[in-house]
Amino acid sequence: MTKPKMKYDSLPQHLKQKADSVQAKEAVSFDQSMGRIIDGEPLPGDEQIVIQHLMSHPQCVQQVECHLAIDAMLFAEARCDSLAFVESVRVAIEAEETKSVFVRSVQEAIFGSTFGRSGLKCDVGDSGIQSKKWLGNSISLALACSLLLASLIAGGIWNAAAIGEPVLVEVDRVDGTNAFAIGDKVNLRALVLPEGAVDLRLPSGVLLECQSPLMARFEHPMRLHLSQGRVDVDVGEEGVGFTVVTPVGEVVDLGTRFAVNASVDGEVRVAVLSGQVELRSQKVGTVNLIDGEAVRLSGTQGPRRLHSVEIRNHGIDHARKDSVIHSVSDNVDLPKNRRFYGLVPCGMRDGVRAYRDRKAPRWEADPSEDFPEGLLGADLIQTFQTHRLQREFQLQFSISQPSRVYIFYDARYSPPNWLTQDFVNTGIQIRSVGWSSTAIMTKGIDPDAWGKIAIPHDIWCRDLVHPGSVILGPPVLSKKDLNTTSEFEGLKPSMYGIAVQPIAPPSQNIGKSAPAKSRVKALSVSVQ
Amino acid sequence: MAKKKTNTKWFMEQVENEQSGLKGFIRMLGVRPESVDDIAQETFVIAYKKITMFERGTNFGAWLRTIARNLVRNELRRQGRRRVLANDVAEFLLSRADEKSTHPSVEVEQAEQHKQQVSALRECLQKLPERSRRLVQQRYFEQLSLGVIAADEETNANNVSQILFRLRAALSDCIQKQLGNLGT
Repeated sequence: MTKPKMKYDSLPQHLKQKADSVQAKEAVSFDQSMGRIIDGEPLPGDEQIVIQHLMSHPQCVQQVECHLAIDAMLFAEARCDSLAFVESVRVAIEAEETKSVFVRSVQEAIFGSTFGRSGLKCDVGDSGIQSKKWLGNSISLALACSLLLASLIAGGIWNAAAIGEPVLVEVDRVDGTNAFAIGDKVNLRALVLPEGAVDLRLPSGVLLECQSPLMARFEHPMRLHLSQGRVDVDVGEEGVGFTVVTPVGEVVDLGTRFAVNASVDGEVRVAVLSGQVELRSQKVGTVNLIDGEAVRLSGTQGPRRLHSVEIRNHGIDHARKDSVIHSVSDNVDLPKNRRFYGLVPCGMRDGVRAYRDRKAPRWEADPSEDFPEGLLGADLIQTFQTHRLQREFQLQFSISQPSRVYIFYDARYSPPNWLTQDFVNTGIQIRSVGWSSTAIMTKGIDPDAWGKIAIPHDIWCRDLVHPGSVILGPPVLSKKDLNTTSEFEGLKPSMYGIAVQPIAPPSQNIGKSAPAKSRVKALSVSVQ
Repeated sequence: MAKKKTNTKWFMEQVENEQSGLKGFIRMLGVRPESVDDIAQETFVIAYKKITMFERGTNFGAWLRTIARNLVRNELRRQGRRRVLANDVAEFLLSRADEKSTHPSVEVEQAEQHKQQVSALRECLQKLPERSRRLVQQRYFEQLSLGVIAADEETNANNVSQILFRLRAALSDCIQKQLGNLGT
């Protein structure tokens, strides 16, 4: 039972003074606590003091509001970035609008254009047509699509009130989309890219190369959730630990450049382009991947080797954008073999990286020659040295249009039969340059006049006038050459390189009219 | 398509006009300074999505503030990291904002005063003594923590907080005086 409050006026003087003193102390205490709360650094108990005071002195709430208003105005004065804020709202609104278009395009891509446009729901067995479409799809694909669209309906990934903080990104490159402009600085939480490509640089220096169709969101500046699409990540020096979260696991950078691709059917592909990453998933635990390794995994299957990865090269300005090479693979089925072939559309040029498991060696012209013009802009397959010693090795790829296939074979050795039977030596050479002096492949090779160690390669070629498959054998020595190459006895040729150029007019062919006699067998080019 | 473009153009004009006042309002609901822009952006995006529910000719700023109040209310219900100050204080401020919303004329008057207040603040900042201006610079322009400012000023964080408190009170008095002078 509380005592009734005595009226202040009826109090004796000494009690009035005491009451004044207590009130003053309370006021000071309230001011201090409120000040610390407004400054964002409260002490334990501050909140309670403020609330108790406001409840007993409700008029003081105006004081709190006043301080917060001044605080807000001071922050606004300090930032002075109203234009940037207005622009960030514009971008956010455009993202909302493109989201609607994107949802429809995803719908149509999955269910076909006859699927009801008015609704986003996947109604199984809605009609005869729908039933046929469902029968044509796997159950897992249908379920994944339903879940994806359900999340879109709920606005899960775009819900601005959901978890995640916005990240200030700078747009480095734009291609094929109006959603961004180069130089834009945007506070971004969700990223929806239905078309085109964009490179975004984060405050930590991490560079994200985003390829549509893409849906992703930032949890914070070092963590990106990727629901769909491909992101190539270059973390630089300060982005170590940057993580891409996918539906099946996390990819944690350990100092690297890597690519992650999440597809609508739930499969995720990870490729390490330099350095190494740690792949963490509930299904398989932790898997380390190094430069030149790539895997694919899903919710139902653990990591499997990914044979080829398209390597983007934005420095190339070429009329042709798409590769004519598809489905690169080999027959090496070793446990923990995760090597991938790099596929660089239109990437062949002087100085391009030659191998996926060797950072340094580049393809270069002979110093006394120009780079072969017919090779410029050809699709390049970056091979790797790891399996060159396998005698049963086979490499296979497909081409989608008539093309000339080039093989760069180690000129120090006589070529194997599979090469001489189907290809012709052009008489021109190219070099892989930049090897270490301690590399086993370069034993016996002296540095050239520029101090570089280079392996010469003969350029062999073959025309395929129809789309089809190409099968290549191992680079190993044929038995007859074991006795004639005593200088390199016990060593093996370097792995060959591959480039494919859509069939060019005869004037651009690089082959000489009369190939050099010393290295050419009397065989004709077999054309299919 | 032409109508949608016009709406977007009109909407962006409203964003320019209202963003400063809206941010101040959001801060007064007890949202952390670093999250004010965030919630303001969310408010505008929601307003754009629901623009058909807004009746042209009525107070757009008041409608925005309703959306912002709901967003902050959601924030108070969230588990984990929050973007508001002390929860109970924010609840108190929010309930007061709800009360004010039932008296739209009060909100309108405050919104209209905002531009004049900003202008008055700039003049008042010029009149601050050097030490106070240095504190404003450190806290608001450089966004230094109380501890860092305290080390620089050779005092403790609590003292810095109190100085800032008195400084804000002084600025508030100055602004009222400036606005009062405008009225005479």
